[in-house]
Amino acid sequence: MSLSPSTSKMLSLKSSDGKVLEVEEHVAVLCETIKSLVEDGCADSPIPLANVDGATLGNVMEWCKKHADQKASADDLEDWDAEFVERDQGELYHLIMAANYLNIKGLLDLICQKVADMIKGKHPEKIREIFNIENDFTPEQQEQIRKDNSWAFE
Amino acid sequence: MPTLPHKIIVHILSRLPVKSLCRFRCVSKPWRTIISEPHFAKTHLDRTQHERLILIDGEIYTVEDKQSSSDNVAMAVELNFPCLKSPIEWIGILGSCDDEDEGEDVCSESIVSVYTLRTNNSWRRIEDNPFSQFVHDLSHMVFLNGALHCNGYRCDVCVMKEYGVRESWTKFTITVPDVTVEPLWFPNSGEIMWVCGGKLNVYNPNGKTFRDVVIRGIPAPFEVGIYVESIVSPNYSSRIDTIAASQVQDNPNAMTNVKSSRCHRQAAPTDLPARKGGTIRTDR
Repeated sequence: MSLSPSTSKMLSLKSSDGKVLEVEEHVAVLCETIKSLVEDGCADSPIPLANVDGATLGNVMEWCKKHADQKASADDLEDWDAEFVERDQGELYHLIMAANYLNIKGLLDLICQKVADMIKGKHPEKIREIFNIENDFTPEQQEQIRKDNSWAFE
Repeated sequence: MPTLPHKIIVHILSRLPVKSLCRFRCVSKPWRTIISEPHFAKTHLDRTQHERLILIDGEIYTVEDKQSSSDNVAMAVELNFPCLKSPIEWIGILGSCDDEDEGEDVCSESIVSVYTLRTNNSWRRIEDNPFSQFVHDLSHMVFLNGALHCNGYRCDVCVMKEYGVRESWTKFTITVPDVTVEPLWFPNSGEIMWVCGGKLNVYNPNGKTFRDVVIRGIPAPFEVGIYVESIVSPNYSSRIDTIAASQVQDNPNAMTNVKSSRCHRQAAPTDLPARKGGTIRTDR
C-alpha cells in the first residue's frame, strides 16, 4: 500500500458532534488509530471518532497535515509547533485527549511539553486549580511535605 | 481543565524540572504517589536531556539555568550535597553511574574511588581499572558524547552525534585562542563549552565564534563540570554512585582538573542526610 502524497486517497472522518471531515489518507495515518483501520481495510465508510469533537478534529488534522508535509524542514516545524500550541487551557485539554485517543505520539509529546512549561514553577494551590484536583492531605501532612521539600519552595 | 487520565499526568510530570516535582508532591496524594515511584524516577531521568553546570570551590554549586546565547552571565546556587568526606587530599567529580561496573575515565597515576550514596555514604576504591592505560590526562576527556584532543592551539573534536551509535562519530578541528583548553560539552545547543585560559568559554561551530561566560555568586577560581538532575533515590532504586577521581598525594601533577560530570542532584532531604562541606581542596 502506498501512502505517498501523489497517490493518497481521501478518508472521511466523522467527529462526535456529527461533522464529517475529508482528509488525505497520508495525512490521517499519522494517527496510529486510523492507520490500523486503514491497514485492516476498515476505512471505507466515514470513520466514526466518538471521542473527538469537530473543532478539535480540525485542529488535529491541521497538525497532521503540516507534519505529513515532506518539504517542511525541522526548524520550520519547530517554529510552526510553537505557534500551534499557543492556545487556552480548554483547547489544550481537548488536543491532549484527542492525541491520546488517536494515538499521535508527536502531538501528545508536544502538548504535554507545553502544559509542563505552563505549570513549571507554579505553586501547588495553582496546580490544583488548573487541573481541578482536590487537596486530600490534612494540614499537618501538607506541612510535613512542605518541610521535607523546603528547598523546592525557596 | 477537566481531570486528565493518570497516564497523561505522568507524561506531563516527567517533563518537569526536579524543583517543580518536589514542590508538586503536596498537590495531592495521587500526585505524591506518582512522583515517588521508582519507575517514574527512571522515566524522568531518561527524558532529561538538559545538562547543567556544576561548580566546585570547596562547596558544590549549580548554575540554575544554562545561559541562553544572548545572555552571557549565569548565577551560581549552592547545593546541599551529602558526599565528599573523602579520605584523600584532593578530589574532583568525574561522573556518576548506576552500576558499579561503569567506572570510566581514569588517570593512570591517580586513584579512582566510587562514593556510594546508597550504602552509608562511603568511599570505595576501584582497583585494576581496565581503562587506565588509555587516559593519561583527564582534561582531554568528556563524559557521554564527545572527546577532544588538543595539541597547541589546534583542537580535534570528536563527537558522537547519536549516543551509542558508533557510525555517528564525527570529527572537526578548531583553532582555539589559548593552549590550555579543557572541554565540557552541551549536546543540546550544539555549542561547545570549555575552560579556556582559566575562563569559561563557549564555541559555536555554526558561526565559528567564541564568547566568554561570566558566573556570579561563586568566588573564582572554581572547578567546573556538567550534571543532569534527577529524582532517582539512591536508597530506593538502582544503585547511583558518584565516581570521583582522587589524586595521589605524592604525585600532585597527576591530574589537572575536574571533568565533565554526570552527577545526580539529590532532591529529597528525607532520602538522605544532607551534609555540607567536606574535604575538597582546589589545587592549582
